[in-house]
Amino acid sequence: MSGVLPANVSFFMQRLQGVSVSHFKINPQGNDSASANKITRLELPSNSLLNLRNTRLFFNAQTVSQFGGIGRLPNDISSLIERVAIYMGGTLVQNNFQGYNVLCHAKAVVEGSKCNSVLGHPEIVRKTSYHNGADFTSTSETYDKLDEMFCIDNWEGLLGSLEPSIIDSGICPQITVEITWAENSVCPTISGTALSTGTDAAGTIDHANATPCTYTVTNISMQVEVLGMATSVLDQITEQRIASVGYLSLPFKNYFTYVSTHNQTSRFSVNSASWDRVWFVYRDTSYPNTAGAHVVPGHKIATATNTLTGEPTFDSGGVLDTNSEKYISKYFRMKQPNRSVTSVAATYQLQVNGASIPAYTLNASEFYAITKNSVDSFHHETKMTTGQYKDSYFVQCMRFCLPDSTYSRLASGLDTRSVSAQAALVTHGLTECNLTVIAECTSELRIGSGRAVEIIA
Amino acid sequence: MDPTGYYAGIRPLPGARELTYFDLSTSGPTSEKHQNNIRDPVPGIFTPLPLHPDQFSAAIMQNPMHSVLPCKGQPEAVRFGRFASSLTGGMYTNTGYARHQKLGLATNHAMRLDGAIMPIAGSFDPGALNTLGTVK
Repeated sequence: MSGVLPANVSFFMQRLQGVSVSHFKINPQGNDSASANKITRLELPSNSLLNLRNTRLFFNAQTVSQFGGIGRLPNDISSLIERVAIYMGGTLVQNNFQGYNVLCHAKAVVEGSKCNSVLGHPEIVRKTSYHNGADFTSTSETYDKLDEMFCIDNWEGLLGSLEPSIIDSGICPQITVEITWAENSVCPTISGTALSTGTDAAGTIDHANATPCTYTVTNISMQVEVLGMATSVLDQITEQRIASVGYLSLPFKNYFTYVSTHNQTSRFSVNSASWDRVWFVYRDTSYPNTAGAHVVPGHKIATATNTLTGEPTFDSGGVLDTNSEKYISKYFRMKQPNRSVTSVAATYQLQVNGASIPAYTLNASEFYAITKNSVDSFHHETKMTTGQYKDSYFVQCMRFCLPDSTYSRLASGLDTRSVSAQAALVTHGLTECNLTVIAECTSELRIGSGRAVEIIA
Repeated sequence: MDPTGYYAGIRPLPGARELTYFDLSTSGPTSEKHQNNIRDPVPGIFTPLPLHPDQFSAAIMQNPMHSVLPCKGQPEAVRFGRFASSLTGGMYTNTGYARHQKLGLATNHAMRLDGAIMPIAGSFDPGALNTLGTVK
């Protein structure tokens, strides 16, 4: 009878004895500090059960003033990472795609931020640090104590999406994680720590200092969870699978980036066995310039009568949690481009191999609704407004695979191999902007006997 | 002797004889075509008559067999010029623009989708093919 009764009235349990859990700390090859555009390489343990979902990168971060500028770290410490590549032996497994930090911010808009509020530097500090309580009124943000480290514990790409997430690294060649640090301009450089007045006044947080700050990261280490099991069942299953099929199939998310200055049509091509989604990130063409922090619309700025604490601008009471200070790095300010004709709404449409997707042109609202339904996420947006979306978080996503494919290890996206899909984003009524296109694909990592690997992109 | 034929330039067939008075009367069935082996005496006699054209067009001459429509309409008796159909009946998914998809209106025949797939390089020797295969 136990088979027909639901779990909440049944008596059962399972037992797996002999499990051991531990953590390794890995130091980078070479220098354990880095600065903008530098590369850090870390080798994962080569003969143990790795829990890849629990891979954490720790480091201290400091911004350094240059000629009077005041440096600030960007919101979400993942912003400091430009690229993440993963090699197995000499084979590139996770594509070394550009704009890892842009993808993190884009996904945070639609799926909710996965930034750790304790260790992930989720907000920009104006004056007093919420991280260690220090007063940075006239100095750049600096955290150099070992117990003030930041941590990136959520990863896009292979580390965060490989299935199964616990793998025996003994069956594959040496796994190397290669991190390329972002350029300096991801960090805002402010001319002062006063509240914004909305007029780009000198001495306020949104006013840029002329000379950009730089940043450095120190004490870099990666920490991974390693497991041990007393049973050899997993080893036997692995051996049997390789003997009968020839290889193990491990799906993971792989990304490919195309950056262009968008003016009506931006073309790109994708060559993948399963092209699952495409992400469009719109930024001003001046996004990499030296800039102060950007105030998210609605949040507090100084008024004539209230210069110290300011007032929210979506009415003085601050609807939708706008009764607070909120800043983003202008490098990651995703903004709907201005309209060519102010009174005419812009339209968006995607073309893949000559087919229009969808068959009708979308306006920004319609595309946002599709975007929300294009991701496998249960994040329900309740605070972001249309105005904030268009001003600070303008991201679009289109799905080509079946919903929930990721959870079921299903590669159901477009197969564009042998023709390398010619795709284009076609817009009407927009002025020129920077466009970052990120193609999200399901790649298959095949591991055969003798540590042979293969990537089906 | 066939004087009429002679005057018309017709030469009698070999062995034909001269018309006699007996030849002036109808002989045998009317479907018999050749009266005397000389010529068709009544050209066009077997050509069916064309249909007589209507004297009046249908617009001005109502068929008296048609009935007067009842005051209370019979919907099932009325045929419209166009069948009622769903406005969204013609909508279906774009298909045929990627490998393995069913061919459809989105198919571009100038772009072949079923071409050969490039083999994957081996992980030990990039000059050799990978032995783990690929997806077709």
